[in-house]
Amino acid sequence: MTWSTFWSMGGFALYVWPAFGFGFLVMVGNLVAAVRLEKRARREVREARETHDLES
Amino acid sequence: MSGRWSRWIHRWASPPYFYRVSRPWGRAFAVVSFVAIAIGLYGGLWLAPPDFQQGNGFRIIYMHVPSAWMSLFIFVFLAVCGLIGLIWRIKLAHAMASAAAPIGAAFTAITLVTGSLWAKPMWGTFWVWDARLTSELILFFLYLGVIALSRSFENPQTGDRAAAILAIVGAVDVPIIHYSVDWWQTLHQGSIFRGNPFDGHLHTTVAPSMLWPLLVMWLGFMCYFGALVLWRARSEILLRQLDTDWAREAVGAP
Amino acid sequence: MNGLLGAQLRMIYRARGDYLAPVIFYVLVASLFPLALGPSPRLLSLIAPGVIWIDATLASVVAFAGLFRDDHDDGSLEQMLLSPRPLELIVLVRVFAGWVSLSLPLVLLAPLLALWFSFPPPILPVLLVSLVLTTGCLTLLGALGSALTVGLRHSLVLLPVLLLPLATPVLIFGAHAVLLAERGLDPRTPLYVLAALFFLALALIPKATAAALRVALEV
Repeated sequence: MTWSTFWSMGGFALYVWPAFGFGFLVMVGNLVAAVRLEKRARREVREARETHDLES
Repeated sequence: MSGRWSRWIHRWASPPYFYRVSRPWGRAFAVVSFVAIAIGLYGGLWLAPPDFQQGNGFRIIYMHVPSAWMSLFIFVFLAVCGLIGLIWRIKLAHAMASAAAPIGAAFTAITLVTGSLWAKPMWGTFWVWDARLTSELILFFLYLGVIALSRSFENPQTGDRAAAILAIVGAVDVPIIHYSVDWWQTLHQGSIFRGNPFDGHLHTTVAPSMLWPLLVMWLGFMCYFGALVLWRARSEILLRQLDTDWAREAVGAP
Repeated sequence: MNGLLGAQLRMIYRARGDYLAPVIFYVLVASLFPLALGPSPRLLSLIAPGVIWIDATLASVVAFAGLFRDDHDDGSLEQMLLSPRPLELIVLVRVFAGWVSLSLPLVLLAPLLALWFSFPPPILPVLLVSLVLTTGCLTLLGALGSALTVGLRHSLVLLPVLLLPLATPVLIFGAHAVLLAERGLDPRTPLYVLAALFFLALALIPKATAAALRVALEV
């Protein structure tokens, strides 16, 4: 296999590459969502602490 | 339930223990996942020979089929977590389930989109009511239902437990849906399209050079799920234990 | 047991106005199809099984949304949980009463719909049997959905989202039993499967519904 046949995928490039592109885009999106979830969790733990302090 | 199992479950179910131990496990999963996906892509896109019928178009299989397997596996995972959470009242199991549900929905979406992109060159249209795509679509709706239900209660614990019940009922229903859609398909075959090019590749007669990248990709996806679900579950368990000392300690709050 | 069922049925009879709305909904939706697609008898008899099944599914989802809502709001759900009778049994009685009051009218109106959609009369028995089994399954699923969303104020859209995917096998086998009979083929396979699904649902769903009610009341 050569690089040009690899990229053209025997004429199926229009379907093969978007399929892999979409798949990995979603998988990376999951990672971003995990980062945001962790930030939110950490913030909420800290805020729970602050309200706790105010009450006591 | 033998004592060893029960001890193992209860040790892992302790949130501080889980929070500590899951991090190295997650890292290990992430490394294996990265390496396996890289090898799987090299094997699937470069080394594997073109299919004698579908040419290079068949290579979508290396994204589509592992995603489809993951979408089913994660739904079973949700149901098992739900059962553990409901029977032993283990919060960590619910945290795992709510960490896993969006990942499962994402894999279902990948399966549907890659399936459509495969259908276009094979059948000339982006969507056919093929048995596999149709059951995957219903599975996608099931995932959305579980996620929507778990998020619609004010008390997150109620949401967790309600979603667990729905996931268990859904997991019983998934094989029934699959069978019913298969049966429906055989009744209407020919009126929509002929034959199913997806089929030949799932049998063991497929050439080893085509098969091993598929299995390696699947291993990579499993480890990706393992790493991501542990990561998300760590945040989910923090959100369920906001007022505890260990949670404050874990985020480095005073 | 008798007293429980009798009380349920008397209560439903007193509130009969509430149970008329889903029936009207069912007939009304069915009458929209000829209006939207034209009155051709050939076309209508072709789509009739699909129309009747989608219509019955939607009407059931709408009807059963409130199966446990009133019990929850007036506090009788707590009493159910405290009662010495097993909750599963109470759920089962509630489901049966619900089926009699909400689904039986849909089954009995099927001949009217068959007339509207130019059904060949000989397949009416198949239509009725499959509708009885289908509505049985849908009632059980509806009870589960109602129990899962009982504490929620905005469950109107959520409930169909939860229930319709679960109900697809029932829809497929129910509608196709009639479709096969219409084409002069043997409808027994889908009917047997439908019966099996009904008994499976009968065995499992009351337990899940009881669990969901306990979750809703946080006990």
